Amino acid sequence: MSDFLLYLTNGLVIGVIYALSALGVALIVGMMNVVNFAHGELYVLAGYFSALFAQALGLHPAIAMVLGALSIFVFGLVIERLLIRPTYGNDMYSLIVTFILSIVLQNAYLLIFGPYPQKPPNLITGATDVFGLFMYGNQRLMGFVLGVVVIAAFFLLLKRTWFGRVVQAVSTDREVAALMGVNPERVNLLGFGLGCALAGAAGVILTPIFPVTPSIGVGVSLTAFVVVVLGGMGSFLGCLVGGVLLGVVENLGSAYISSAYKQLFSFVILIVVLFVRPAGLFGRRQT
Amino acid sequence: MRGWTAALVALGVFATFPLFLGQYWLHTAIVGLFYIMMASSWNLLAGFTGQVSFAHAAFAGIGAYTSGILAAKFGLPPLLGLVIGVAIAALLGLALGALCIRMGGIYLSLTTLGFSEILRIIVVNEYEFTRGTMGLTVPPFWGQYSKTVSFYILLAAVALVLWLIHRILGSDLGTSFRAVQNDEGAAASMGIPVIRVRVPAFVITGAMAGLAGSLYGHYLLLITPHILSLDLMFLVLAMTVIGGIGTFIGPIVGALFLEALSEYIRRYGEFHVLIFGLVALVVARFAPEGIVGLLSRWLGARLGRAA
Amino acid sequence: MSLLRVESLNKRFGGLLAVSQASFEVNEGEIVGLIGPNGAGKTTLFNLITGAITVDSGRVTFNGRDLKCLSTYQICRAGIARTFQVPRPFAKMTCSENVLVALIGRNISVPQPQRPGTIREMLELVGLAGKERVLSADLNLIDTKRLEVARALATGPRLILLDEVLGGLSSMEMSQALDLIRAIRDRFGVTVLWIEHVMGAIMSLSERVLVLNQGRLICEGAPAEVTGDKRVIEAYLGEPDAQD
Repeated sequence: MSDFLLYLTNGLVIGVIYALSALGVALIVGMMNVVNFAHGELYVLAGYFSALFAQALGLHPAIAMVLGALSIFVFGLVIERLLIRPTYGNDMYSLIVTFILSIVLQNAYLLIFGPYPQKPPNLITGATDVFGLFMYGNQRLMGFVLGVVVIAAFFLLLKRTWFGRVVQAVSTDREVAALMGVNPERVNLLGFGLGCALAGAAGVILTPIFPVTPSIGVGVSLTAFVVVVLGGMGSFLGCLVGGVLLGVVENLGSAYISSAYKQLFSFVILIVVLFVRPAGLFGRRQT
Repeated sequence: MRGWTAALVALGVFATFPLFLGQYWLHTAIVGLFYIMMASSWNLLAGFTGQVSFAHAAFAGIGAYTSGILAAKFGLPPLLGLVIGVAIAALLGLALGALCIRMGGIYLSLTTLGFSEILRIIVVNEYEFTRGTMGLTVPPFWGQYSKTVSFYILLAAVALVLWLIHRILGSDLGTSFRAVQNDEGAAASMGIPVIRVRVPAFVITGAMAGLAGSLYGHYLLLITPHILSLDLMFLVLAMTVIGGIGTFIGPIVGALFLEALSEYIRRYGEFHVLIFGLVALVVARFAPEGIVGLLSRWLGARLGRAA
Repeated sequence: MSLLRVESLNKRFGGLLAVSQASFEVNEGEIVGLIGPNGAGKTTLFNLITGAITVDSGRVTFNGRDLKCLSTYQICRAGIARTFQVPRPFAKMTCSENVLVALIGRNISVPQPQRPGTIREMLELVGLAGKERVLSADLNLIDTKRLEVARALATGPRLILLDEVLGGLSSMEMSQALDLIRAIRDRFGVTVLWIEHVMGAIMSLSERVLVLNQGRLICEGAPAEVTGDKRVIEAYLGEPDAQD
């Protein structure tokens, strides 16, 4: 029984970060109908930066993490301006461009950072006794808390700020939002940057637990896509539910069925959802 | 008529390669032929029906592993294995196409990505059959192993595939492909059965990739999961995009050009993917018509000025 | 003989009732006009008839056949063709190829030998003779509208739905267009249901006019009756764009 609870907890912890990562994808998809294939590479870059800032510059891990996420935000702005902006309206090209970008980044990482895993330092060490049932790593618990905090901050941004309201409007109906006098270029720029920053946040939170190598980006991207599709494209609440659900299913599945096929579960879920109910759990039906 | 003459001349030129190319460059040429088949068939799917599939390498892998396993584990003659491999690739293409029917751009690409990764994970894990990342050793396609024979076999396959693509593009199906790619809704309002157009594209191109993969596997004598990977998929995509997506000779030019280039770059290190990626990015952003498009515009301007 | 029958058609988009209880008939050989202020739901009605969007409730019968379960391409093959208000040519294909698609899309594709002749005939009819090899992306707006009509007519329909084909035409072009519409009915025997804002034109050519306002059919009759109708005038009073 305590084994089950351990797996469940793992699932919840990682599920929250899945949700965070998925929010980044959902934001960009909802606002510009662009699927950012390089999403995972941004997560990876955040991990590298966080490790770099902490180790090379000797910064406190917390500061390194924040800086890491911020640098990804800036990087996202650059990407949007140079590469993404010209592809709006042409779905095929934005797919191709972000896919190529992900490959370029992967290979650049190999060149710059080398093939060996990099790991930013832990914010906190040791383990806690969870309800007297099992010992659980503090860094993981911290990761859970941070994930929840960032997600909460995101939803606050969405509901309470001008920018958040614009994001909601654009996600619901792009043309109406344009009529509202919103400057689409600036909104898209910030939106894309924010989406990337969320990937970066997931990166800095999770990489002290799971070190980065140049090639893990693909898995991160795909997991995020599965969560977004499962939760329903364009639904942020869906990302939360989908993320936690996927995390739990994956962990329980890999513990009780097969761990080699852990990644397989998410893909099978992806295809089943796309086939049976493409709108996902909370998504709107496309007309 | 001019097109046919050019094609025959090119074929003739290629046929002489084994006579003067050393073993190293002959190998490069054979790999180039593999990529011509892959890029041209992917172009038919993505460039002419607008379905950006990331499962293309996976279909090559299906062809390769099917005929490889049948030959290595069950002693089946590679020719038979090839036919079965192509058939299975076609069937899976049908399944994938049917799965993607109701999906537009993003969903479709994600599904093909998921499909591709599922296949790769299965192949890597089913060590019993595939020898996982160690690689599966397979016999040569025909009799004794010979680079020259392999070259001619692949050349024949390339000629077949390109001829098929050319026929399809000139046919009613090809026109329907292009109409659906330009504007699905308008095509439907003119009586084009969009589904019955998009699914055959998956079947045909999947079978072509399966053929390419199977022949390639029997040439390399070793099949690894690399053939199913997104890395290979990326090369196919980059070759098509840089060559000129949506044109007939674009992928051919792209495949040959990039394969030759990668050999030069390889002398300095394994940078070719990165460089191709950067070039592809620039091309996709600034010159979407690719090399072929740029060349024809430049030629057109030249001839215009001369007239 | 009734060719198209629309019964109690309803369509809602979220909170907006775009088409409400629309019922009318179009008889074979008629030229019927459909007018109404902007946003009245005219194009939506076309989209419902051709299956581009799904019907919430109500029925569309064509030639005695319920169109309910048919998809867009099947409805085209059943004999209904349409043009789009904002033309949607196949940009990367030539004018010739655009028309060719229509010939391929038919129930029984036009046999190869007849194709060049039919394509030439269609293009000449709409005034695009000589532009066979021009990419449709390179056409000006008026010519793309012409291509729209040529393509629709090339599907060999019994009923053609024209959506604002006259907008932006000079008076010479307009009179050519009216001749074309007349020829569609007189020479090809195709029934015409026609949305238009250019009042003078639609009144002069239509035998019957339907008036749509806010999704509802508010009036139906001969042009003279309709122009004098109080409800119609009221519907348009707030409407600064109605020409003529």
